[in-house]
Amino acid sequence: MPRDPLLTAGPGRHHPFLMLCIRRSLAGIAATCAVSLLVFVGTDLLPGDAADVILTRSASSGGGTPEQLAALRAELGLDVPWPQRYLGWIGGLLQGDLGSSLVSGRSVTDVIGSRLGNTLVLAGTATVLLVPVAVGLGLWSGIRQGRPGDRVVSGVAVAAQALPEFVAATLLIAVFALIAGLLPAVSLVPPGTSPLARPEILVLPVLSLLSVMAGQSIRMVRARTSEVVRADFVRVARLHGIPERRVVWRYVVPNALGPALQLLAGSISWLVGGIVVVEQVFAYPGISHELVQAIISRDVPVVQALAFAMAVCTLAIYTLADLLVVALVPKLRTGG
Amino acid sequence: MNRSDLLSGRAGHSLSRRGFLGVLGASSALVLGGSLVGCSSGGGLPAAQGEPRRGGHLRAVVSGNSSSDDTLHPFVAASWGGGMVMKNLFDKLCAYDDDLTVRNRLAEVIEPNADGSEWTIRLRDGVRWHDGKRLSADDLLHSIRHLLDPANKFPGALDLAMVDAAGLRKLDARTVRLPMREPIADLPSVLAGWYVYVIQDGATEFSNDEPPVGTGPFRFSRWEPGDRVALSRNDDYWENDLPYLDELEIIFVSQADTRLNALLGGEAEIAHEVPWTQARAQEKTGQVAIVSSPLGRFHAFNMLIDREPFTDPAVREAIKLSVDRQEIVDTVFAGYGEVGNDLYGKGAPLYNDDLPQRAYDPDKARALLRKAGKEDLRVTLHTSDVTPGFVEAATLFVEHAKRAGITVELAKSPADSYWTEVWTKQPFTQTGWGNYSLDWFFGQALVSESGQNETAWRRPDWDRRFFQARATMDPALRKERYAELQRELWDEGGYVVHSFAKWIDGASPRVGGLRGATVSSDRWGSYREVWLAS
Repeated sequence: MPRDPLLTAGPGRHHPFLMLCIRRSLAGIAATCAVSLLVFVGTDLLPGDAADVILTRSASSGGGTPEQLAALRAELGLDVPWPQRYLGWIGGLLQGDLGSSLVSGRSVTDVIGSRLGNTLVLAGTATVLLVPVAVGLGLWSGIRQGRPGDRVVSGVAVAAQALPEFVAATLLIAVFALIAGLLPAVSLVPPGTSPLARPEILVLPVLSLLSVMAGQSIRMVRARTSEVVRADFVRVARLHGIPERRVVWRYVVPNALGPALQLLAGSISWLVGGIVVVEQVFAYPGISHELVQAIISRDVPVVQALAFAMAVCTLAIYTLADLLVVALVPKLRTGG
Repeated sequence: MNRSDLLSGRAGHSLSRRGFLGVLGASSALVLGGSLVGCSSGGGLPAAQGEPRRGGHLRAVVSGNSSSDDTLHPFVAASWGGGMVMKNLFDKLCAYDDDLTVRNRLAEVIEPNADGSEWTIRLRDGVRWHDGKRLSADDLLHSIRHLLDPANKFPGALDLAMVDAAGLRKLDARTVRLPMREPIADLPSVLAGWYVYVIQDGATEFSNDEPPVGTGPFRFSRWEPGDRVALSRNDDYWENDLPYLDELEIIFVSQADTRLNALLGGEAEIAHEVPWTQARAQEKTGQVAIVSSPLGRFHAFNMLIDREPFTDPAVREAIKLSVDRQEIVDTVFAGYGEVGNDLYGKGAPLYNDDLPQRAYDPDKARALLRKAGKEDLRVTLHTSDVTPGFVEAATLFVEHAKRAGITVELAKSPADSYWTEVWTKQPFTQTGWGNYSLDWFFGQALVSESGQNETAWRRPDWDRRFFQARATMDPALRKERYAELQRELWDEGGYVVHSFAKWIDGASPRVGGLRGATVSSDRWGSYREVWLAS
């Protein structure tokens, strides 16, 4: 990382890490705003709007008369130019008001509230398991590159990575739910309860996500590890007779993990895509069905809220990974 | 209704209303050669037998709306799941039987004056709402006025467009007179429509805060938008000793395979709308009971007859002869269906059974095209994943048409804009509807004024004869007039109705009293006669 005046001068000099955190967070907020703007404009560019959809649904006439459309647009506030609608949305957001669904009129918070929580539980569980699996197996097989253990891990990782989520999920359901009867085939969550109240419903969805994501993550960590293992400084350390265990923990792990963490953050944010498929296959009451339907019905406030939530999560993960890397690699931390 | 919705779906999930086939696919079945294939629980499957047992908590999975557009309003609920919830909370005045004839439910009598310009409805005595109040004429007046109020923009208003809402009159505590804007000989067939429920006087909002109060076999317990509705037994239900279940949960699951998994994995006792090929496989294993509807919902290719090349009747005839309908039924619908004869309403009263079945005859199609100077005909068929079976049927048709020398190019549109941007805008698309009366369908899709006239069938003379037939009180003459209207459609219309596809449900062996039901009919989605063995 290039020398950065913010890190080396001024009042931040004494707390460079804190300053870094602040800068990163500000950048994250800016990026989130940019994403929300893109989503807003993107939804606006789609053919048809909520008024078309509502009238096609409810009037007899494939779409309603121009007068009906105009009246409904005015009622929904769709006749206002989009920059003005966007500013209105941002204004509401700052006051914690996400608006109301154009289709049902219910508040967006109400519509997505518990579902967003359910999705975060699923994504969080998968992430918490993914990181140790990816890091542990990646390091382990990277260190014993070319040996039988590495070959098995790499082979399985490649195979799992090649499976689309729905295939992995279907296979897991067939084996563990329908044939063996060990786990529920669908992950319904009774109203008013948390998915954690019945953790067994999370097992197959999480395994489906892991089976696809872990493959890629393990391979990334392994690739980085095997580079580090062959690096000059590791060779020199070994030549100096430093015990292998110490070489690994003192030199290989920190240097392999830094870059690998950022790659890992990428695959965690990629979870968002996998979750859409997995939630539908298991009928898990998360946000994915909501998002798809809201896009179909051009329900802009719902789409905005969900896209915004997903952007915040993604950016938070990247930011966290960046900061972890800095914490891990002292050179970055001190700005030198 | 719009079919469109229904059909359309937006989503797929959803929407169904009447008709539609849509999206969901569905339905029904068929009458084979005039005899109903039974409703049956398909072939010897292990459904619970014996005396119905009281009690139990049953979970049913069906496609529904998402949280953002879910509703508890009986005049708005268009999804399959929403329709089932309403079916069990509320009652209609009358409803379709399995054969699409109509029988009374909340109505004791529905009768016209001599020329069908005025109808009188007397309600059944002794019916109570879930809150204990008695069902009265005021409830019926409110229901019809609320449904027809133009400010509400309810889709069902179109069904009852012939009713003069301003002239409604209460004759006594149980009787209401309805004047018609235009005479109609068969008002019950439209009163049996998807949305026409009787709601309590004054009710306009339906939510957890203002719980729906109905007369139906189950009371409202709890609504989790986009996820499920919980209902409990109405001990005072007016129909003898029904229902049997203590609790009913209708859970919305959008993916068909997932619904089947829920059933197979024991997370639900009934899975609605099982995909056809999966149903066939399950019938073989016998692990769950499979029931299919007696009548099917139609699947069609629709040509706009005012757009090239379909302005030429020879081209339309050639296209109709270039579809191997049997192969579509056997392959796409795994045999759960029947071939169509380019007309709506197979199995419904007034359907013209006397017309010959159009067969797959590529040679004749080729000859017709040669004579018309249209050899090497090329057409583009617009398809989309909006309804199960659409893309599959279109793909087979491409091959069928090749043998007639017709090149069909498939243009696949995104499902979210198919009904708004492609259907009725492109000359050759796909469509489907549920089973209702011919009166209803003709008014929706074939009169010149209809916004859903998806074949551009605009013939003032045909319209006039349809209105005349619809108001013909003499049953024999009425049938004759409808037969003529259908002959003209069969000869010159823009529909290629290739299939009628059944609606299929799967059930745990513990479930008793479940019968295959035609989508629009009274039994479809009704749990009043369903019970659970212990």
